[in-house]
Amino acid sequence: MECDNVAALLSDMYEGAITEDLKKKVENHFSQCHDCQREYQYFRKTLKLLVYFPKIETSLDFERQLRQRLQQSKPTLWDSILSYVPTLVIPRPSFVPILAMTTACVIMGASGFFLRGYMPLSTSPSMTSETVAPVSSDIMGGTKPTQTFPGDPSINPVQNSPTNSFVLPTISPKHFNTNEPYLIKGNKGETLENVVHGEKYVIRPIHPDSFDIYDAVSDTSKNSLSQNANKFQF
Amino acid sequence: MFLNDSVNSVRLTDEDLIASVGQGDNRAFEELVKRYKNRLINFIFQIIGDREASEDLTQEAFVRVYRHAHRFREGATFSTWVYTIASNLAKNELRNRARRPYFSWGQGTKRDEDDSFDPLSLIGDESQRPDKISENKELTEALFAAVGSLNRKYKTIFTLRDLQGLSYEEIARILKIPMGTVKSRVNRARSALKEAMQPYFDEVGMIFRSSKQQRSEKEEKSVNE
Repeated sequence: MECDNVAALLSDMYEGAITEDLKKKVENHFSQCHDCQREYQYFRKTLKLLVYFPKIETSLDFERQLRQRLQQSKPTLWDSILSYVPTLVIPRPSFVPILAMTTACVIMGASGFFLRGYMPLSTSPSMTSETVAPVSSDIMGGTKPTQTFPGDPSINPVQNSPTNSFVLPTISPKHFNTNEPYLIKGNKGETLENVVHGEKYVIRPIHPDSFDIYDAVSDTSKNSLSQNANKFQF
Repeated sequence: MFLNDSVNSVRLTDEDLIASVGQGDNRAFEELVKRYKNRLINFIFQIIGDREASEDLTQEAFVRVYRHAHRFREGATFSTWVYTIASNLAKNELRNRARRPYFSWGQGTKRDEDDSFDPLSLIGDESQRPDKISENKELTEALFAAVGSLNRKYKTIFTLRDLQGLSYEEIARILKIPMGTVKSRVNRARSALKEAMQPYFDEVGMIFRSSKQQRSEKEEKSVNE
């Protein structure tokens, strides 16, 4: 076995991904070639040093920033077009010829208009910026108010759309009725009150160690609003 | 669909979670963010060498995951998908920087602002022990610099394999290159790092002597005595 052949097998040797037969040949070579043996020892030492390799972590307010980003960024036209293309990876073209882009926009825009049953994007329950924003702002556990709430505790009726899409009505964080599906908006520590039973729910982490997942929990019955998962979104 | 509690979310696979995200489950998204945020930022950081931009691109990767979750194909692997997104974002960032020559690898990092940048300052508590630092400080600095100086295609593959721990098959799918190419590039990247590290190992007395050499040294010593 030549030195070049051994050099190509160093990774396989290190990972143990080598047949016994080949391993013996390499070891035989090492016993005769001090240089190759030394090279392999340096190779192993280098890779073992990786346990000390510096690692970074995301900043403490990574989730808050991500939440804001999801709120602020609206799907681009390209995103809307791609939402109709069933592929695994979403390429983001650095350059798309203007003519092709215009053609695609016209075709997909027109088909999207009909597919959505004349519904504007904001009323779809799928991931559009309008529906994403309030939901993500609550479940990501923000500590700062990301939205102000109307003082009016009245509850809006559910608005069913012709395509079975619906807009979850916004309610005051102070009063709600668990008999109807609502989009609960609130911030950590805020209290929600069931207008029917008078039971009070406080928005808090669902687990003492969790600062990311929030739920509204009743102090008296220990019920949580997520138990009505089919009714509520956070 | 909602996750009932955090314990359940731990049991769910990445693919279960992304399927839930596609159905509007934001807690599943939160769990995915928790699982992947540090992996992705380290991956991107190794490619572009810019801490701040890495965080920005990591967030952008998650935004795309969120927006396109409903398009995730059943049977696919989430990690492959998210690393592909991150890889493309990092590649585009480097391409954009290449058009702006005042950017270079390491732009915006502490190492550019301060010549005495210590990569050990980024290491977690376990390795912050004084004995470990004194033992590995110089070597770790050298290795950090050596990885940073690798050619991008080797750096990407090395990072995915040796720093992120992905399989050769998964790397091949992410980068869309044959697995044989992945293996040979990993081997070349490791060999290049070994070459870069060799002088440092020699300097700190980590020369490895063959048994034959040790015997001859022993014999020489006994003769001298």
